Amino acid sequence: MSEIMTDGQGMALAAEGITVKLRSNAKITWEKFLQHKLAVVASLFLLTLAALCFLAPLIAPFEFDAIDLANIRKPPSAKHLLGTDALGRDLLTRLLYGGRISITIGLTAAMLGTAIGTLIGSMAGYFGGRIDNLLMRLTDLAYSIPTLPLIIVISSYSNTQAVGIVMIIGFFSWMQTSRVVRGAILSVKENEYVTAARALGSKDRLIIVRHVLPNISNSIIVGATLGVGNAIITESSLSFLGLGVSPPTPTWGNMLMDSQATMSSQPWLTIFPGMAILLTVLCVNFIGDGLQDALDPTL
Amino acid sequence: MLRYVIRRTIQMVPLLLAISVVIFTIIQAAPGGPEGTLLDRGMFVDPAAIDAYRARLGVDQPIFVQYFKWLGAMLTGDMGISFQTQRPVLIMILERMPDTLRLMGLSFVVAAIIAIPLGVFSAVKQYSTFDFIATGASFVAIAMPVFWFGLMMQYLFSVKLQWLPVAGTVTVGVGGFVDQLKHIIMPATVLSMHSIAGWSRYMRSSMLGVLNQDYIRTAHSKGLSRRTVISVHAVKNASIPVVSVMTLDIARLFSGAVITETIFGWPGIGRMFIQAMHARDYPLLMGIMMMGSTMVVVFNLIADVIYGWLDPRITYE
Amino acid sequence: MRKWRLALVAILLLGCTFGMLFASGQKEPAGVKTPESGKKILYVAYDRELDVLNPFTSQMLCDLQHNVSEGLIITNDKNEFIPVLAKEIPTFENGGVVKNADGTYDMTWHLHEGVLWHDGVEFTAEDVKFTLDFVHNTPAVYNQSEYNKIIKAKIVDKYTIVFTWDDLYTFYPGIFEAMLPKHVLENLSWDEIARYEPFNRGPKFIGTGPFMFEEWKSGEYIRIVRNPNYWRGKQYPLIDEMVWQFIPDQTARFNAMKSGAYHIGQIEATQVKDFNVKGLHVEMIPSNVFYYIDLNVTPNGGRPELFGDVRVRRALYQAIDRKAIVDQLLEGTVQIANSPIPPTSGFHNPNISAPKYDPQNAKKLLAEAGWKDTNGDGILDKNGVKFSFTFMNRSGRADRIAIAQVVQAQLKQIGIEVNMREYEAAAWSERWRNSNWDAQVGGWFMSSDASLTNYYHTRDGKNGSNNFTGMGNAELDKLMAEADKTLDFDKRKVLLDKAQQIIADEVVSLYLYYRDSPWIVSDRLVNFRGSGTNLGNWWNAWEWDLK
Repeated sequence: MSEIMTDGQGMALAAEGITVKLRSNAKITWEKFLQHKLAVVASLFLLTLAALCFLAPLIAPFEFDAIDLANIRKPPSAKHLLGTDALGRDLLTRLLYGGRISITIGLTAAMLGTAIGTLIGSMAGYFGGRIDNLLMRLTDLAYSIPTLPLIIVISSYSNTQAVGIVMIIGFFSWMQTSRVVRGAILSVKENEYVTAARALGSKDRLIIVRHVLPNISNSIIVGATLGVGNAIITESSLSFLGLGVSPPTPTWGNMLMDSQATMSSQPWLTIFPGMAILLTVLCVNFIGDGLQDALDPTL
Repeated sequence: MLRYVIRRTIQMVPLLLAISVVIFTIIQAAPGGPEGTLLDRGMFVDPAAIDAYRARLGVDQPIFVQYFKWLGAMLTGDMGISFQTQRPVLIMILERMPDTLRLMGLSFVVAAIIAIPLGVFSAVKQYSTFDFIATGASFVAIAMPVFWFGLMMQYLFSVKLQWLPVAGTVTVGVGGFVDQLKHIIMPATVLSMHSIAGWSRYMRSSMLGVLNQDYIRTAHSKGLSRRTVISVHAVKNASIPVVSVMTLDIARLFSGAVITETIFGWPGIGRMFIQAMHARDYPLLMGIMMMGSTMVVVFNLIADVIYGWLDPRITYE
Repeated sequence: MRKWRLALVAILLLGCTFGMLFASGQKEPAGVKTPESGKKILYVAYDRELDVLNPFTSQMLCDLQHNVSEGLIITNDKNEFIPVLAKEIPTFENGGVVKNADGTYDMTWHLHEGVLWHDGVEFTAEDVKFTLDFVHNTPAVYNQSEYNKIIKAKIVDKYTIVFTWDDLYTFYPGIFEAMLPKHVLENLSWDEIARYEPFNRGPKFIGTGPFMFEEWKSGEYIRIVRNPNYWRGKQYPLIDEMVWQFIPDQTARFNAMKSGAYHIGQIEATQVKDFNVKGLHVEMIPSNVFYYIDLNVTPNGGRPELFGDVRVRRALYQAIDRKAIVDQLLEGTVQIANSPIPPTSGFHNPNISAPKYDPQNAKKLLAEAGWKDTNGDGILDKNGVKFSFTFMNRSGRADRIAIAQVVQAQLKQIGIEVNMREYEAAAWSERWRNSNWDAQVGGWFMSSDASLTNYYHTRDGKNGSNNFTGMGNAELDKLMAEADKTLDFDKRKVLLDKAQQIIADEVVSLYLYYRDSPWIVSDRLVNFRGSGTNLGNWWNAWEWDLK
């Protein structure tokens, strides 16, 4: 339990430390980001990887569920570039197809978590008082409910497990975002332009959407970026607990899990999906790092 | 301040009640029941035995009846009897506490001791080789799934090098401090890795923010040495948010760590929780989860109080 | 440019990790440390943690318990019941079983004399009677219904007890695998016994066995130590102590065995080839477990519209390449099965004619049954119904899920679409019990008496209580019921041989293989003779030794 949560913890914490500054000019931000060479390389790498994964049906050498029992657990060769798995399926093919699911889970879960967190955090921060107190206690409530039983419940009611997993990770990763956003809004809302907008009679909703959110977008974006990596890691942890996506549908998480039993004799089975997760999350973090520098005008 | 603490403490009661209702509903909503374990041995079972079993455990009653029964007993301090082991839930939880706290506590302390200096030095020597190594290592640690990292460690240190034992807290028949230390090294390392990575990143970030602030620059200009400025002023201020976050994490110590405990055969509470979940051992599940939730709520309050205490700018309404 | 260093560092770190892992060869294990005391301690890498020690109320397979609590009988490595606390197993031949005038049967057990409980009190027929009473009054005992067939128990003298059975049953000698100490528990109500902490967790858990309960460290291990007054002779047992360490994760357990720190432990079939550690060896223990695919033909919950036709079921069986599953997927560690009774049992029928792997014929059979691909989507259909069904998988059961995937691919070849759905343990169990599924890969323990009634008899409220497929065959029902009351081996074999053939012809259960359990055993362990029954490998632990 705690690992699943701690995973997110660390990264969300890093996001919380970002100080809120005035909105940077998009062009300046972009130029700054380009200066962060590592982030650029990471973005390119990730884009390439994602493109390969999503084009898997076109470029993969085999079918992802093409079982060949005569060739199980074969080391990398010319025919199977990354070798074959326990059922003789081409590892490269499964890695590409698995990436589709894992990356999709990462992106959608992070988006869901960020959306919920931003909504709740901005409402709490902007309205303050009773609403703030209520929403913060709601955050406490969500924070103190263990994820595991919920995963079991939700996965038994959703037909596609991937959807259930996205919902779970999304629903339980918004608390940090909401705290960060609330804090950011608290400091932004006393700014003159917000006071001015309010004096001019703008509606609360409009003020939040037009004036406040854009100014705290950097913390939201960075948090969301890190959330992607978090979700990918969480999916693999769920696979370890037997609560991940059902085979034969590959995900990096269940591929990694399936390979554990024969880790020492067929290391390629565990190294390739492990590297895929590691590199993806690493890249996502580099990008987050780059974005943080780029969006922070003091650097 | 005192009024704030009292108010928050009173608010805890409805919050915990709400949590208990939510948790109770969730575990009951999960398909399957405690009788499922009867078939687990893979041998035939009499259907009459299954019905009798359900009746004996009281799970044939409506959910709200079960809830109020549970709540009533809970208010008198009775956490119920575990379905699987027929033992009092409280005893089962307390039994696992020492080892849970030993492992979680050690990894917490180790993580804190390493993470804070790491973050401080990374920030002070921003973009230095040290910073790069620390950042790189943190990212790698964050990017590795826990079970993968754990099993890799086990394979390396227990199978290949034969330095450390695979499972348990002690070698029965050998024992001693060194033996116990050998047992705890791997699980504690696996657990603290993520915290070190997370906290040090956070500390670095917080420290950078502080170093750029005016009063630090003022201190410099007043001729204070860099070392004094950093150790006395900057670290103190930068650690405020980190400390409050770490306080929140203390609550997690009591809930254990499912994956690490499973891999290293550690008798912690996390593993007991997942077993209870699979067996739908409702009283034990409720006991563990309510304890975890209470800890989170309590330490949440403590974190808020500490935050205000360390940072005089915060006032409590 | 300096940012590049970050990437360099990250890559170096990664390189180091993998380099260390896979570069060097394995160090030779130092073996299990001999404790300074010179005691012979057997270290067991155990795949689970027990719930309670009481073998009657435990919901798990009991093996550890039988080292402490002996019963009247146990099963040996040849899948036979052998007497333990009884002098011999009562049969018609030895006069132990006699028919009464009212049609009931009397069964006389003669007990060993001078057997002591671990606290020094003598074990007598009173304890046997007490154990029976406990089971009669405790519905949580999984096989209570078998004990309920005993309508009367009479203590003749300290060492003789007579059970009166309402009818003949083949499971006569297969129950009472443990005993409860009357003098410890008699002051408690039956319900209190089931909850009696000192008995469920020790230290009051006593028996007559070679080992005595010593310590249970919650979540970590159980220790049992030598019984100095063991009834088979003071020299037994030869081992001083056993430590059962709970290591539920299969990879961790495999690592544990490889590290050389344990003497005995079970591993997975796919890990066998990879195990090569000096001082330890793999023993493939033929077990009573058979693996199969069940097709659910129950009208509500099952898929009779697909599986109702025997030609279709035959076709499915013919489309599954079992040889490939056994030889390749499981690396030849198991044997192909054609019936539910494994070769470890004398009642196994080796001459069953089962459908052979023949996908061409499978297609023909399906066509005969009216299943054709009329809309060209590659999936067979009939009257607008697609031939598509779902495998219900239980999460965490990697071996069964792997088989399901192979079968899924093989059935795709003949135009059948198979979907996969995974359920967590308790959810799976509930659906299964309620026949709310299409098909599933399963594994059962065949009891040593090889009774088939519970699994294959038409489910009528009394019989076939674990028949969740909805299968029913009047002739088979008759055969099985008769076999259950035939104690003569030869006569019973004829009945069961026929029954196995009918079950094979019904093809509701598609048999895959009999499992041989891979166990890692230390070369130092003497007299280990593994048993594949549900009572486990420890049946003769009293004569084990560590050389």
